[in-house]
Amino acid sequence: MTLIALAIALAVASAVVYRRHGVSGVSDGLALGAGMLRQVLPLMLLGMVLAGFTRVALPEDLIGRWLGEDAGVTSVLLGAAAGALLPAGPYVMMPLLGSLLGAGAGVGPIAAFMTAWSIIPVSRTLVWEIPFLGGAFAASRTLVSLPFPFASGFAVPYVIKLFE
Amino acid sequence: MVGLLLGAIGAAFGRGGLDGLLEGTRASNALLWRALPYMVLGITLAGMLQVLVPPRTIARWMGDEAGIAGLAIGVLAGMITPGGPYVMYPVAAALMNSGAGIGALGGFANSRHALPMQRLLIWEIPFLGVPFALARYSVAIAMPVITIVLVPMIYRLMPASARAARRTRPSVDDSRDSS
Repeated sequence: MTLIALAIALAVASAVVYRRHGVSGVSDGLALGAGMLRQVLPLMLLGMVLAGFTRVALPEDLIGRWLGEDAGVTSVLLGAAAGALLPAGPYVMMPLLGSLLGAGAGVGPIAAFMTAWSIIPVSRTLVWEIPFLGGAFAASRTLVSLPFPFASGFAVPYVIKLFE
Repeated sequence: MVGLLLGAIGAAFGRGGLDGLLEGTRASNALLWRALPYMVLGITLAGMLQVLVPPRTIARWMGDEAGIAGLAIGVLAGMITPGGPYVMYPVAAALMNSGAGIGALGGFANSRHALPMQRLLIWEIPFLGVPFALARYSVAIAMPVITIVLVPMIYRLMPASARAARRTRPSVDDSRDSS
């Protein structure tokens, strides 16, 4: 979603709030937003510094080398670890994974990588999940989700045969 | 958190020396300025939605008393929620403040992470191809289902103080319940 789409959604929501609840409704909405921002900002800033330095410490070509050749179980484990650690949006990650898959990387490691990147990413948990939803929720969800990248890495290579 | 931070800074220094530190600072700064406008708009949107949808309604649809239907609503909402974390997390926090159940929230979060329609159509299918995208998606369908069952159980084992911290936010609790 672009910034413009988000701004339009906010404008529409604000207009509906104004029609239903008037100026006091709009100011309530702004106050709720400001309260949330105040609460999450300090933790988010720390998380962003962490994400920025991780990006320097783990450049994408390193990940490419980890996943480049398919070495069975080891590659699935490496794929899951790399996916959890590498902070990047889909606009970086999807082209990277697509090119690795095209260059002969295994389906299992790529599936493990993608699942770890989307469901247990360290930087998103620190920047977004803990500030907004709290440590208790983030820890419970992460614990339950830990096996998912491995399940994906081992199951997707078999399931993909049904779709080829 | 501080340990992780020091570890990442150390690793950046190990790879690139002082340039690595400078680059890390620059990358963090770039992240902040890129995310900030989205974050402010996303959080304000969540504030407006909290005014529009009273907590009672959220509790009725997604609270623990809503049962299986509440869990299913969480999972479906996760699949169709567009936008990045700057939309998802403020909305999830608003739902949490308004009394959504932990199972429904876990289902919302993990289906948003594992089964988002937007990412499937815009990113996965074009870049990874239909067979890979569909195979990954079919395997991932089990994930939110496991999540809605197990996350509430594990959440109950967390220290009471950590759980209570998120349920009482003075700035949010007085939102209009009467509308």
